[in-house]
Amino acid sequence: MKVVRCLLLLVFLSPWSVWAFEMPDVSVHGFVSQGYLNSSDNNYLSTDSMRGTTQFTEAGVALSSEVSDKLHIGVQFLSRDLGDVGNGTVKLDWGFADYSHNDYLGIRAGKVKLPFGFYNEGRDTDLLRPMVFLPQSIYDETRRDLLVAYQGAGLYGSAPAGALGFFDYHVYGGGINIDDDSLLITALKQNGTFSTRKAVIPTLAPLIGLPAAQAYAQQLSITSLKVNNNYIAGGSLILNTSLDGLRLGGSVMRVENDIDYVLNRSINPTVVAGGNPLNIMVPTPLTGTIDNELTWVASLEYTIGDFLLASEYSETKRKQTYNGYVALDATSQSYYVMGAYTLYDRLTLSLLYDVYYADKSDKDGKDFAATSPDRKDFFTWRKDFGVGARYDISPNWLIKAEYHVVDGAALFLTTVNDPSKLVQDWDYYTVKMSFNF
Amino acid sequence: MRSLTILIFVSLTFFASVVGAADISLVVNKSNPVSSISEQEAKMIYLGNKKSWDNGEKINLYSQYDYVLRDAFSSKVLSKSGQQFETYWKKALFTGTGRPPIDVKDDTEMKKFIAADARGIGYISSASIDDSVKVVVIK
Repeated sequence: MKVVRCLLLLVFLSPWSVWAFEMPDVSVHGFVSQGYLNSSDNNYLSTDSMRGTTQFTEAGVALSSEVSDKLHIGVQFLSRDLGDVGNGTVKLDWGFADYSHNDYLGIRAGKVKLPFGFYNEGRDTDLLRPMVFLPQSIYDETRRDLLVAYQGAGLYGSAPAGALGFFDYHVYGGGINIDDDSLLITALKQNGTFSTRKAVIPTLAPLIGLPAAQAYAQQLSITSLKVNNNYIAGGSLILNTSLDGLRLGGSVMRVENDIDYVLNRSINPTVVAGGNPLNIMVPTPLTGTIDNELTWVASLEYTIGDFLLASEYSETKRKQTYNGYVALDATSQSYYVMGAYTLYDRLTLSLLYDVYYADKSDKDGKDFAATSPDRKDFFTWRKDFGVGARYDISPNWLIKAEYHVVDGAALFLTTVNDPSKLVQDWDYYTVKMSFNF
Repeated sequence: MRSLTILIFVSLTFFASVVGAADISLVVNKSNPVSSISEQEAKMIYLGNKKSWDNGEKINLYSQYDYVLRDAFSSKVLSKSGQQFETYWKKALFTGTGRPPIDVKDDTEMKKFIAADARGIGYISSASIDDSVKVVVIK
């Protein structure tokens, strides 16, 4: 929080607080947003949201410079605080060199925002969207680290497509960083602990008996976990159709990661059967994998005057293994429809219907619930109906408010709640104010 | 009475935008050989997808602070509201993928900038056209 306050002070007390400023070759722009999040029955994105939380802050400063007509460089530093994630630490959001050979071909190298769906690149900048939250089925906050940016190189360009209009493309390859405090890490620890407990019972039971094996398994847990990305690769193609206001797009992405994790005790059957606590209570390092084998998104956006209709559909084939045990091998399904209408260029009213299924072949969650009495069927889906309003006070200031009714607890709600107390039907509202210069 | 006021306001706003849309012209430097561009080219230029003139020189984009003229222009050429146009370029700015057009105060300032910038393109109300700049026709 200290860093956020410093950034806020920098923005508000500086002489640049009203307009961005241009130094000879460098432009400096920035934004700050502060929100309030409150949910009923379940915590959402923060372990404090049922009480209401103001730990919902973003501040960014972007610097860019045109080195020549074809080469420009830029960097953006971002500080985020969302519940236990971020805590105001300033990080490099993006920073790259961009060489535009011609309109058809350019190259970006460095840390670049990931072109995924129509809205992922702007996910951290509140002022770019009608609602506070992007549709979570596709732009899930808990998987932000997987989606926010790649470190590597990408080719991009635009070209006319005759009567169809013109298209933009961006293909890329590189790596990603996953922060240790992200909710994804918490979710992987939970899933890994569950899977390890399940996997160890058949190997221990022949030596120590089933009841003892089950009791021992319940004491196992992952104490630390680190994700090491192998690569990310993908691309997006957007057709700006000749029908005014209609954009169509498609994105694909593949991510492979290894995981290193540590169990709180041994799972070696001989050691456990030996019964010596000095040998059993030894932290055990293990490895695994977490892969998004294929994610694809089909996107549509239609703007007619002040009315915006956006809809996207996505599937992700995911696989996770812990010490060779396959903990997850499923394809998730996501889609949403959002409409927004702007009155007098200032007030925008939005409606959203957003659906996520963790496993499209188990939409009712029965197979998932059958794996353990601790697992409920509604952990596998999330259906969110939201209404929102955005008011642009000036080109620099805006305020948003929205209310969502949710059925289901998918998308890692278990990471900020006691899973045994999760409720299927819940709601949340949020108010957020943003400033940009 | 309130409904009538709203109706009159909406009608005037619509009328103003229609009139404004009809009265806007794209202008370039007099040394620029381009005299006409297609609707699609105009859109690609103002959305940053076409960054260079046919001779390879970089295109310098100019826009106006005046929201009435800007709204009319973006509605006519880009099929976007003024706010959508502004948000589009803020996205480019905050993702590092582009720099927004240079904003100028009014038609007089726009003509001054375009007259001094051989690579520039801007828009003004047609009533302000004079021989300091060259009009580019949208085909």
